[in-house]
Amino acid sequence: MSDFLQHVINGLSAGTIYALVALGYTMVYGVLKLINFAHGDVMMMGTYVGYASALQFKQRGGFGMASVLAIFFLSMAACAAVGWLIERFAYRPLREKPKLTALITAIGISFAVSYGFQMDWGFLPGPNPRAFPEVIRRQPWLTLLDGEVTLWNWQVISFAVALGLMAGLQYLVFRTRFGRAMRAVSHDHRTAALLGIHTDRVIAVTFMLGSALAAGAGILFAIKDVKIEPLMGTQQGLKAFVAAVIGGIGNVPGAVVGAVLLGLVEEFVVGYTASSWRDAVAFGFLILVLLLRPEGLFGRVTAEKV
Amino acid sequence: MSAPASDVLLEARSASIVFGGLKALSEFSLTVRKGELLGLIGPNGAGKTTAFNVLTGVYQPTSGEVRVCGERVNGMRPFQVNRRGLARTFQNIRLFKSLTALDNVKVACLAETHPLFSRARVESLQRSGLRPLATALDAANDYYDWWRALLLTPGFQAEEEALTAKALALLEVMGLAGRAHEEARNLPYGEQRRLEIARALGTRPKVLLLDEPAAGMNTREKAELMVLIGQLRDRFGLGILVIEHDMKLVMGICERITVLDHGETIAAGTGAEVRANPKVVEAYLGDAPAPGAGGAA
Repeated sequence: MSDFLQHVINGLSAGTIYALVALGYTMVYGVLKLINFAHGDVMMMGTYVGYASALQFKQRGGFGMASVLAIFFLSMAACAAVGWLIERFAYRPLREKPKLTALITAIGISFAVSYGFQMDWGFLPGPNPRAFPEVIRRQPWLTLLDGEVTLWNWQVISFAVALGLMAGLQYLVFRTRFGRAMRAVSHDHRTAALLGIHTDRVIAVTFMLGSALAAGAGILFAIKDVKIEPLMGTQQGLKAFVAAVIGGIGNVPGAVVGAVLLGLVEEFVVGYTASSWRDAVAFGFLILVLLLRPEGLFGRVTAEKV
Repeated sequence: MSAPASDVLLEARSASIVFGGLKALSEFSLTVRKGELLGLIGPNGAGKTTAFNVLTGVYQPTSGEVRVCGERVNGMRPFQVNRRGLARTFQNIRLFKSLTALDNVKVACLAETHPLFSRARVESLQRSGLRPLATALDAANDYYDWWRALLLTPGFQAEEEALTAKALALLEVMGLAGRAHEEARNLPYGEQRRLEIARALGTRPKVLLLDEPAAGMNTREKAELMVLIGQLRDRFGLGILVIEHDMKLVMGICERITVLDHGETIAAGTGAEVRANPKVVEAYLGDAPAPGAGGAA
């Protein structure tokens, strides 16, 4: 029982972080019908920006509430800028070209970034893993069942940050003028343009939002796993992509549910079998969902016109 | 709007478009003035929707020009043409199906917002050749607006309420007041057509282009819709251009009619003039029922 509860806690904590990354995939897919394979690498860049700023704060005497907020803010702002650059210079010129062209470009950017970061020229970090500074001192926040189940403080913070960002996104998408424009563009960007909506700007901001969420997720990952390396984006990005597909790509609540399910499944596999089974089961779960419900759990069945 | 020249809201001058050697539209000229209701008719494939696409900036004319309120819009993108005062509906309904009727209209109500830099200022900068600056100010407007929404400033909330009120008023004009919170996809066909008009009106157009607004409606519904369209023109002081297959309806409400066939303008004038034109008779007899027979679909 205590094991089970601990696994649920750990699974939810991993799942909410996946959810932040999955939201970026699903939002960009929503407006562009493009799988942005560089998204995981944007997350990795955000983590490194967080790492660099954390080192600065560490030299200046430790971490307070303000410095942790500043780390999140800097990394999210940097990633929003990176997202804008990628959209503006890599995807926008291909807007009217076949979708496959943009998809291959996305894969190209992903490789360029993840392998580029393994160089050790100038500011690039080089291939060796780094340890993310302990920006939040790890302490049990709550212990249950005579100390057999621990809810850590960083897990609580990670929950709170992830849920806060998701709630903000939900509000933005469903309650604001930008969200309405985004949903309209997602539905039919040509019609939206004929109603006076600057569709390119809506798409650019969607990229920036998705990238900022990924940066937030990257720092939460780094707080959880400590180890960061240039290839982390590929693995975590792929997992988050799986989560978005399980939930039904293009669907905001679907991405969250898919990510939490994936987090729980992985944690149970690690807890009850062997950790080497984790990825096999995660992708097996994807195949199962796609076989039974190809549109994803929350996706809408669309009839292809022939 | 006292001088007659400024009454011209939409003007096409010899606009032509060629697709791979095929002249889809040739030497298309048309003038829509404030308060006018014009008809654009022709057999299937005559180029009517192509003409709409050229007017709204979806296609760039190969030659000739289009002017909206006196300003040349060739080379502008559809959203820019729309902001100059031109709105349209679509032959195949193109609502945002998963949005509510209210949200469909609110999406279009961009002109209701109170930007950081006024639209007039942005447009005058654009006219005077300072395009990058105009674009930057326009972008600043959008980003400012979106941040305000996120930070929930009181001004934003008041504006949002005004926007909802405006959109509800438009729904009411189109007889959709009770449908505001239904998803567009769930509305009956005739109501979807009217919702498209409400959405187009949300952009505060000066000219409204309606692409077969009565398609798929029965005779009574069509007649009601045409009366409604006449009322919209009077109420909002619009110029309206309607594509319609049903000659009888067009003759009934439109002051002037342009007839297209194979991309060529084969006749233009009042209903009686057009009906008497042998070319029109020929074009229609070769395709569908004769002019005046009505009900061609």
